[in-house]
Amino acid sequence: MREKHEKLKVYEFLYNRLPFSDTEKQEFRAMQRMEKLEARFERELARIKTHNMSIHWHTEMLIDSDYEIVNVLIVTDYCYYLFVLHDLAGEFYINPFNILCRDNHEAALDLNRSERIYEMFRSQLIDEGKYQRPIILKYVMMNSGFRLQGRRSELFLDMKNLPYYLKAIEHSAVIRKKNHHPASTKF
Amino acid sequence: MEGYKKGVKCSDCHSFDMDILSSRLFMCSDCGVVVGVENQIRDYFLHYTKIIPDEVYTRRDIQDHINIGLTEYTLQKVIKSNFRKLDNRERIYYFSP
Repeated sequence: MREKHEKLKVYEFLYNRLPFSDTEKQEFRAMQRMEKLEARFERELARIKTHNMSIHWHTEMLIDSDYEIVNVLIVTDYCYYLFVLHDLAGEFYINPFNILCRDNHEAALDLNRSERIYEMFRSQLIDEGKYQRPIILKYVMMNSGFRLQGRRSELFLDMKNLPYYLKAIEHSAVIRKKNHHPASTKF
Repeated sequence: MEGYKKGVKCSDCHSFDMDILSSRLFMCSDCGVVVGVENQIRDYFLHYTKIIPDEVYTRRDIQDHINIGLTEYTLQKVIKSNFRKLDNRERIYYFSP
């Protein structure tokens, strides 16, 4: 069962009790948005069987002086799945520099940072033995108003496909391949 | 804490306008959400203790923190469920749900 982020609980407690600075108000609103996205993802997760996987919520990490949040980490015997949740809406495209841009050409998301997130996790999630479980990162676009024009990217998962993707994880968590021993899930 | 506003507030809309419906229920006057008295007060002190740990309270302090006119019976029930006396000192409590 997912717990609300401790910092958000403190912010909620102190809201209207103490004056918030503009930065604190901004951070509070961002945390509330993130909480809503994670709650929605949790509802999708509740539709699959999760007893063969471990689920970790809300990891923050510093990458090149900027914080990144990986909202959900699902660990199965065969793979690590990282999900970064977004609420972007509107028309977007990916420019030649691998930046997700709005149709007015304003940068929205640097997709190159996904490689840095991958590297950070790869350096931490080390399995015993020769078999290293692959790490798959997905940006989940939780807003049904998100439209990607032009070049596609394997990084993105929309809300329409999320249930099927999670179902595939559920099935792959239990498939027993001949002569393949699943890695230990401790980390 | 300077400028800190005490009192039980609505966890949905953060309003301090809470009405007592009964000895067990509060209702927010702004958004209409109904919550349990004991749960709401316990949550308040749980969060307050995270920010100001090791705080001790008199009965008056507890009433000030709740900032809603509870009956003596309800207040006594809240204190009995959530507070312990400090080293057998009469009327000084610490939060221990």
